[in-house]
Parts: sequence; structure tokens; C-alpha cells
Amino acid sequence: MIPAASRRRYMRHRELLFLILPCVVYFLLFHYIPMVGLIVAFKDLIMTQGILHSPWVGWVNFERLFASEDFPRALWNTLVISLLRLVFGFFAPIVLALLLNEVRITWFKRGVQTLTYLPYFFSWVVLGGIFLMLLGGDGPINSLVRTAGHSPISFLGDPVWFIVVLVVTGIWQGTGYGAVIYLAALAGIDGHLYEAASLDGAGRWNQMRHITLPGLVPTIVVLLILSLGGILNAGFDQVYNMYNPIVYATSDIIDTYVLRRMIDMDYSLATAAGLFKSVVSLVLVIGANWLARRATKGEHSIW
Amino acid sequence: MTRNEILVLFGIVLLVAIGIALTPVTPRASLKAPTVDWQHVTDRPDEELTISWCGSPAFPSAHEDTWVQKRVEQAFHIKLRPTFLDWPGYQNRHPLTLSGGDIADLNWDGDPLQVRRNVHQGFVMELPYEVILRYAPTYVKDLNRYGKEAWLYSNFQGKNYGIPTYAALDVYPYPSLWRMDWLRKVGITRVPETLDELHTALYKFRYEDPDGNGVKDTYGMCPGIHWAMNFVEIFMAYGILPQDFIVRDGKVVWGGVQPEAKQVLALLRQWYKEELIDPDFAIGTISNSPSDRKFLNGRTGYLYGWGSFNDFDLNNPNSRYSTMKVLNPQVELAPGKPLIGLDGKRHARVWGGPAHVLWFSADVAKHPEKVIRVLRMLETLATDKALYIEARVGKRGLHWDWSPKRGVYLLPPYDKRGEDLRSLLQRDLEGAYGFFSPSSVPLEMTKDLLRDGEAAFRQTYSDPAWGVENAVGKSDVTPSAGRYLEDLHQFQSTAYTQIIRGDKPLEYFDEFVKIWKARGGDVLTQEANAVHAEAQEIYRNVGALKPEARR
Repeated sequence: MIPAASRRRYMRHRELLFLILPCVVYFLLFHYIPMVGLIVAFKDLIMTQGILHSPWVGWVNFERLFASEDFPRALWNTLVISLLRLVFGFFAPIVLALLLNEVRITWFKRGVQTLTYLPYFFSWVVLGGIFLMLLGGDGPINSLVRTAGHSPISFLGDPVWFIVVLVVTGIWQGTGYGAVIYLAALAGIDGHLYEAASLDGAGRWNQMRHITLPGLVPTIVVLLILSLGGILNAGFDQVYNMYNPIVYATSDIIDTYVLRRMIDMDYSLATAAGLFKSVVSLVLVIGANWLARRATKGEHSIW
Repeated sequence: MTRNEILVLFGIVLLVAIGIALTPVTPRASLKAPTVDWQHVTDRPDEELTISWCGSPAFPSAHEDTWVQKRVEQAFHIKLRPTFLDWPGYQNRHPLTLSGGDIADLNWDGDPLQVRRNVHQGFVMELPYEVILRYAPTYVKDLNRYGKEAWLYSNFQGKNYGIPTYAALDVYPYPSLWRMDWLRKVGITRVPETLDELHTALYKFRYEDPDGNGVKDTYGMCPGIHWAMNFVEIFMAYGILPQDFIVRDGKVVWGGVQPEAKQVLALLRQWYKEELIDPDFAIGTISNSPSDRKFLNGRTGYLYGWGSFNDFDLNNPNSRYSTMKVLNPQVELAPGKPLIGLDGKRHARVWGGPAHVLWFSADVAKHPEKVIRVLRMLETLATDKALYIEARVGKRGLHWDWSPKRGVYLLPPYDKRGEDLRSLLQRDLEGAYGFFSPSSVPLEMTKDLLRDGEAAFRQTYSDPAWGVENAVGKSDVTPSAGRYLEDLHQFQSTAYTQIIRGDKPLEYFDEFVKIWKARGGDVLTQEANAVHAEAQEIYRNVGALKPEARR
């Protein structure tokens, strides 16, 4: 089956193959085998009968998903919130990384980096409470609004403002963390390029345009493709801890919808929703990669 | 690697994966669990049994072999093997461990929905009423008195699958909380008792600067504690529970879609327009309610949703009154009775006595004597006051003591935060959250442990006779609850909030009712009626048709 030439090649690299073996086994055991469990999406799962012996139900679980009032709405909300996050949030870490990169005072740079990184470690349970107080009718933000002669704004009780709050607080929380990856990429850019450029008379601005940004493009492309893949994850923790009846119409996302279904331990429906999410994400990742390959003439894409 | 090699490798991986996954797993034996011939089961009380026990998730950090556990073990000749869960663990991990076949002999479930799911999955052993009645007659009598609806929680398609528990405390309505100093400041000398008086007081709280700071920054009220409690005192004045099943002319109906609900919403719209309701009432979240904070900080002067004698107890340095006194020495709190309704009577929503369900693993059918031992345990706890108290809160003088001012209080080191739960101590003697004492006892049994004034307070402000509970105990006894109930709760909260805030016109209520019915409300109502009818049969079986009066 395997040609002699290849076999020799395998034998020559057997130590390397041996090294990668645990990794292959890991993925096989914990990622590929469990995938077979996806058949649960097509079954009515009875625990004591196991996955295999539970009765097949065909596409019923998917029909239930799309027949419900709430799932299509949740899908739409998820897309809207995610796209807004992507459009307004994707470049924030890049900008922060570029700005930090220009700072020459080490303690200041470190300080800012730590402070912007910090929110990432706060749980949304805590943050939800903090923002409820900050943005409530008698909170400091509305005190400012009142001082400016405006009547208080119901930031969390208005379907549109709520989305704004979600996106902005999400960016605030995640930007510092995102910037770390770009900072690492920036550290990898050859310092000689900058020296050569400044000898040629390029200022800070031109150096950034012609050296720093192109150096970041591979990282940007990879992260963009990955975040497109995650577009059906609109941030469960954040939404769940901040939403309320008045904004359900615009902020009920797939995950909160599935959670309500899970109260009945409806594993089949939850698996169907998960499978749906995965398929869409896969299509998006492949599509984005294809686009990236075309746009950069095959230079920058994941594969 | 060439493309072909990758394909071959991928194929092999896939085949192996499918092969492993499809290896036949024999269905668990419990599916064909033997039916128990209860006539011939004997339990010799002096023979030691080992019982694994997955009790209520209220003690996440408890140790094994606590004093309480040893006390219970010694009293009943049992070796207990406890599993301690926290709430997320109970909700997420417990179903998975059950699915994995790791099922304790005895399990605790909070809501009928979970019990039904576990029965459906085949984890649970059937437990005929006669067995419970035979071995725990006193326990059953008390349960029937305080929470007979709990029998519905353990029922599945006409058969019984567990032992229901009850919380005697939950028959008491909550008092409302008033800022008496505010009331006096705006010229009102006693706590409001009618809708009109409530309205007048709230109006003055908004417009007559009750905190005297010269700024119009106070509101009358800000509900938002729980979907079942928001504005419920006002709905009750009109005779309905908005988010529960109630009985109307012998039929079970959903309170929230009755014509009275529209009247209440019209009233609340008006109050909102008059700015008596803090707009933040709408933005409470799952983990954060603005209600308590607003009241604590002196933004609102009236609070309803939960409360007890303890809130007003100045002897307790951690009570709400004490805390508010520290923040502002001017504060004076006063309790209020339920409003006098349109029919001239007081009504108040209560959670009601029916609590949870204890069920046995299907595998216990092989050792049915364990069931009998647990029933004996419940029977003894229901009759032996000293043992009950020790099973709840430990040994007097070692774990706790009592004084007229403080009631039952824990002794060091158990008074340290968390140390009580770690040691399996539960100060609350009237609730349903003991680990090895999962049901409460009749209130008169622990009455002498109340604080000075507590009994009188209850008589005045929390008369159980005012209590109105959900007609079927918990709405999720309806078989389709898992599919519809959460969505409907959510939909109703949204519609109500929109109508009150004026986002939608009052007429939207009629559309809401139509949609509510179409989206599963009608199904649930029908099922609730069926359950309610079936309940009479169950009550007859367990002797609960005419329970003794609650004292």
C-alpha cells in the first residue's frame, strides 16, 4: 500500500513520528472519537440505553430547532452581535499593540499592558453586577448624562443601547488579551528593517506603514479567519449575566436559547444546535481561508 | 506526505474512531430492574447497611464523617457514603454522572422536571405509596399537612418514584418592608394597607423628598427580585398570581393571562408614568437584582419580594435593619401586612410547603431494605425532636446554643463563614435543606427555639391563612414544561415589562395572551388541569384528601 520510497522516508524520521504519536493519539481519543457522538443529534437519547441503542429520529431535532419561534431569532441576534464585535472589536487589539509598541518607557508600557490585560480575568458574573450599577438609572454614567442636561438613558433597558453596551464592554474586556498576541508578533519583526528604514529617512509613521503593519499581516489573517469561525459564539457569559426581559428580543443568542432547552436535559436538541453551529463555523473558516489565499495570492492563509 | 497518504491516514483514523465508538455497549442492567415484592422485604434495624447518599447541593464544601453524619449513622446503624455537590455541579455534572452509571442509592432532586427526566432515563426505582405509608406514617401525615402537592413531583405516569419532602417555613407569606422614617416625613403615620394607600405613599416618596436632600432622586418602589415575585403583591390585591397556575371556578388557569392581569398592568402603567417605579426595575439580571440595593441605599422606600422577622431584628448585627442603621442612623424600618385586596381580604403569594424529591437508584431494587431503612429514618426524625435537631445543627453546647434574643446561634469555630456548611450544620430548622435531614418537621416542634417576638411577628405579619400558592405546587409538574415553560416565563416578563414601561400599548396584552396560548400556554394549561384532576386520586392514596390543619 505504501510505496517503498515513502516507507524509507518514514523509517528515517521514525523518532519524529514517535514524538508526534502522543499528539495523534490525544486528538484521536478526545476529538475524533467523541465526534461519533454527534449521531445523538439524530436520535432521541435515552441514557440507560446508551447512544447506540437509543431510537433514531432522523431530522426531527433540527426541525424542532427551526420550527421554534426563538431559534431563528437567536441565530439572527447571534450573527448581529458577533458581526458588530468583529467590525468594532477586531482592530482594537491591533491598535493597542501598535500604540504600546511605540512606547519607549518600559515601566509605563508594562503598566498599561497589565491594566488593559486585567479585565480579561474578571468573571462576567462580577462585571455584570458592576456594569448594572455603573449604567443604572442612578449610576455615575447617568449622573454625567443628567449633569449634561439630558434625561437619564436606560443603557441596559433599551434593546439598541444594550447591544452597544455588549459590544463596548466586550471590547474593553478582551482588547488587552488580544493585544498580547500582536505584541508577540511585533517582537518577531527584524529590528534591522527599522534601522535601515530610518537611515533611508522614514519617519515613525512610514515605518509603521511599511514595516510594522506588513509584518503583522500573517497574524491578522490567522486571527481573522479564526474569529470568523467563532462567529456563532456571541459571548454566552457576558450576555447571560447582563440581559433582562426587556432586551431578550435583540440579545437572546443561540447559547442562551440552548441553555433554556437544556433545563429539560434535552441532549439531542442541544447536540443538534451544536452540530449546526459547527457546520456553519467550518464553512466560514474554509471560506475565509479561501478568500485570504486569493487576496494575498497564496502568501497568507492557514493552509 | 502526499495527498494520497493523507487521505489514507485520515481514512484509517476515521475507521478506528467509528470502530471504537460503535463497540456495542451493553445496556445497563437497571433497565430490567427486578420489581420488588414489598410484602416479603424485611429490614432488621440492627443490621448495618451501607447507603450512598447524594443529598441537597447546599453543602458544597462539606467533609465526610462530620459529627452530624456520625450521629445519624449511629442512630440508624447505617454507613453513609455522601456525595456533596454545589448548585452548578447538581445542574451540570450530576446528570452526567447518572448517565455514566454512577448513581448513588439515594438522590435528591429539586424540581419535578428533573425527577421526570431521571425517571424517563430509567435511573429511578418505583416506590409504591403503601411502602411509604407503612414505614413512615407520621412523616406522611406531616407532609400531607404542609406540602401534599409534593406528591405530584414524584409521580410519573401514574406511578410513584420517590419520597417527597416539605419545608414548613414556606407556608408563611413575606412581610413588606417600609421606611417608616420616610412615611412619617411625608405625613403618613401608619404603614399602608390598601392599594390606594400604597399609591399615595409611593407618590409622596417620589415627589415630597422623603430623604430631605433637596433633590428629586427617590422612587416609590423597584421590584426585580424574581419573575414570580415582581409586583406580585399588586396582582394579589386583584386576586391572581401572574406567573403561576391558579384555580378559577374549579379549573386550573394561568394567572398571567386572566383579565385581571390587564387591569393590574393598566394600573402599573399609570404608576410608571407617574414615575413611582424606578425604571431600573427592568434591568435586573439573573445574578444581580437592583431591588435590594436601591432599598438599602435609600433610593426607594418600599420593598416586597422576600423578608422575615430577621430583616427587622436589631439584635442581629447582620440583619437588614442593622445594616441600614449603620449606613444611615436615621433609618427606621417597619413591616407591612399584605394589601387588602378588592374583595376586602388579604392575599399573599407563598412558595408553599411542597419542596423536593428523594429517589432511589433502580439498582436499589436488589437491596430494598435500604429503602425501608431510609423511611424509618424519616419517621424517626419526624417524631424524635432531639435527634432531628442534632441531625440539622449538631450538638447543643458544642455546635450551637440558644438565647431568647439570638435564637439558635452557632458557637465558634462553626460561626465562621462557611465552617457551618463544611460541618454539615444547617441553622434553618424549618426549611428543607438538611443533608441527612432533608425534610423539615411541623412548626410546633421547633417553636420553642424561635427568638423573642418572632412568633408574634409571624402571627401579625405572616399569617399562613393569607397564603396563596401555585395550584399544582410547581408549574413544571406539567409534562411539556421542559419544552415551553421557560420560554413562556421569559415571554411574559418581556411583554409585561414593555406594557408597564409604555413601550407597547395596553391593548398589546390581548395579543400577548393569544401568542402565549399558541406558544405552548394552552398545552401546559390542559396538562395542569389533568395533573390537578389526577392529584385527587393521589391524595386519596396517601391519605391527603383531608390533611390536618397547619398550626
